[in-house]
Amino acid sequence: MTRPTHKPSAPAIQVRGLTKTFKVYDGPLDVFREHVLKKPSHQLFTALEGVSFSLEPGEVLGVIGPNGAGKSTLLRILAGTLDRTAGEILISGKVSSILELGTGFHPDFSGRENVYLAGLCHGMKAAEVRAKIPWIKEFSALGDFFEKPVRTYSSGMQARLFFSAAAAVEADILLVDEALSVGDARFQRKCFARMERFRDKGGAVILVSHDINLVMGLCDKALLLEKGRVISRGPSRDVSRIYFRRVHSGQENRVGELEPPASGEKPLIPAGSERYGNGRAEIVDYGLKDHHGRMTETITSGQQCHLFIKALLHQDIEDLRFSYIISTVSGINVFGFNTADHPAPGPLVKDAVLEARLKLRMWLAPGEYFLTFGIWPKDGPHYDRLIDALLLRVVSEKYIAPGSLVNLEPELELVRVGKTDSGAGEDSGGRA
Amino acid sequence: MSTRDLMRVFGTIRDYRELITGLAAREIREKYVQSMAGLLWLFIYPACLLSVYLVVFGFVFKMRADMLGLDLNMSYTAYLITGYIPWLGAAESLTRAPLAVSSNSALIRQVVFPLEILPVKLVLVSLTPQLVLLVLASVYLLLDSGGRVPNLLWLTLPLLFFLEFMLLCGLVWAISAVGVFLGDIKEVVKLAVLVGPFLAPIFFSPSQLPAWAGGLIHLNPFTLLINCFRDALLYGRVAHPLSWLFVGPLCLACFWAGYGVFKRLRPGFGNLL
Repeated sequence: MTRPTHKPSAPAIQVRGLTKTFKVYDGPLDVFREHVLKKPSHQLFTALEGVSFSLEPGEVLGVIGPNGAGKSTLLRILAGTLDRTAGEILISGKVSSILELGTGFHPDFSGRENVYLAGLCHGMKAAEVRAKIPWIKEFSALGDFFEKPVRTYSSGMQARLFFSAAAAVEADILLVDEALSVGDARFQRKCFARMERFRDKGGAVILVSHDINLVMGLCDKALLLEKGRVISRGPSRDVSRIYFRRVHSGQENRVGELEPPASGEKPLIPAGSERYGNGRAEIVDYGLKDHHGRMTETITSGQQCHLFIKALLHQDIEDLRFSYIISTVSGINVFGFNTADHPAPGPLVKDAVLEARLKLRMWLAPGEYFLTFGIWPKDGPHYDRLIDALLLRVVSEKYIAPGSLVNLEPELELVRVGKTDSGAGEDSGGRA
Repeated sequence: MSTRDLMRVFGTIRDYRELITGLAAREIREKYVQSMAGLLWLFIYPACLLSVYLVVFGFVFKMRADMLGLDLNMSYTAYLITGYIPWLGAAESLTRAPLAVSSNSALIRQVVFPLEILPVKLVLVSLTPQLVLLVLASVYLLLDSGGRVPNLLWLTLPLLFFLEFMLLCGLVWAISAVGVFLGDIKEVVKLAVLVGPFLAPIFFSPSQLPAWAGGLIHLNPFTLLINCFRDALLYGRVAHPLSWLFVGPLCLACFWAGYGVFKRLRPGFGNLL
């Protein structure tokens, strides 16, 4: 029986109340004065504040957030290249990190020589590195370039070399910082596959990225950081949605002010949906109606239907636009429409109610889709937005293969156009 | 800084010896990778140094060692070069010490490894030209002394190299750590490297100095090291017993103190690199 190196129940990484403050000095003399003469001479800059999360073996955590949120600082602290100011970090297992791309490579040396040294830097023994080099060469797919000086590489090739070298390190925890945005699509695919395999073998991965799709595709959990604080953490789809919403509503800086517009009625949106907006106008009703004009959530593919949004203005506003988005469960937008080309009729004054009806023929393939509704002014933040507010179920009488996105209204003709056993006598003229 | 810390430093150096030698080897090749003569340059510099002193003091000034008031029937060049050997590695190490840590910021930000090995690597790299000079000088000494055979004290040379290695590690640790914070140290070190050869008996003999100055230069650890190198290479006997006695503890003390400075300043590195 093989004995695991750590208990499966123990988290790979556990972080509690992690805080990092940088001391900002006016000049080098201040630093010296503080460290040698022990006389405080600095201002404080808080890069991380009270960050907590845990990661189990076999999980992938995506860390997202705008620039300066503290993502890289977090990774550097976990990797051990930066100390922490306060908090607790428990790491069980060996950590390998891909932090800054291509640094530490010497341009005049060949890929092989650089990989050798990178391996030593990562704490491997010389013999281990030598044994790994054929694999690294293979994985990087650099071919003859592997023996050429790194300065002759394109940036994508450098990224490939770099990732391959780091991936060769046997570790329990992998930290990856934006490293994959370079490199071509095929290599990226390979890296993901490698990370997935690593995860399936029980490794834990932390991935820092701006790319929401990447985070949603690869990560089980996500952590949204803003200004060093955890704004949201949980399933990556939820966190990505919140991040998306905050980026697009320009509310990144208004931590804790995200109150939905006051609505005296029943909760308008179902649990699991997101709502935000500045409340100058409010969506008071929305939905989907079938061709009889009845509210529904199930539509037969190919049928007429319409989407509607009813908006109530709480103030006089300059502009009002309506938007509709239909997306798949995995987050791909399959259809979007807005009324940018259609100015709202009448004066947009307080207490006015407007309704926008969008007539559609439902050409989506059978399956489940999310509907998002929004109202907003030209070039401005949303008044009100309901993300994934409605779960639409499309059904079909005709067979359409599962996994299809659209219904191309198939009409099948299946005819016999000849006889394989007949000779030349009959021409295949019987076109139906 | 306790004795256990000191043992830990040696442990770290042992554990990371492959990385240290790997980095050192890369750095040596890095210096010459763009040049045609390549590693040959490693020989050219010490060879030129030796030749210049040979020509200037041997053929132009026609100086003999006994002119310094020394009881030695040898050329002045032999005296000079045996004193210059330990200084060659020192000058190289000290010149590059201020940037030993800060120039590796990319590596430090990216990979986790004990930073104290960077100065160790630098000392190793700096000692290579010195080793070459030692070999060349030994050949010269054998020729100059009229067929005198190498003496048993030559066997202590590895030990002397090791002591110098410790001394330089200590200095480079301290200088490189301060260098992260203070750019000024570069200029200070430049000055020290310029004046340094005259604060130790390299060109002159302590007997030429007034008594107080002669005593003073013996506080310089390099003086002790130079005396030992000369005893081994030139005199072939222990002519400076006190130097032999104290050189070991002094080098170890420098090693210890230098690491202490490095360790104390290291927590501040992350904020600046």
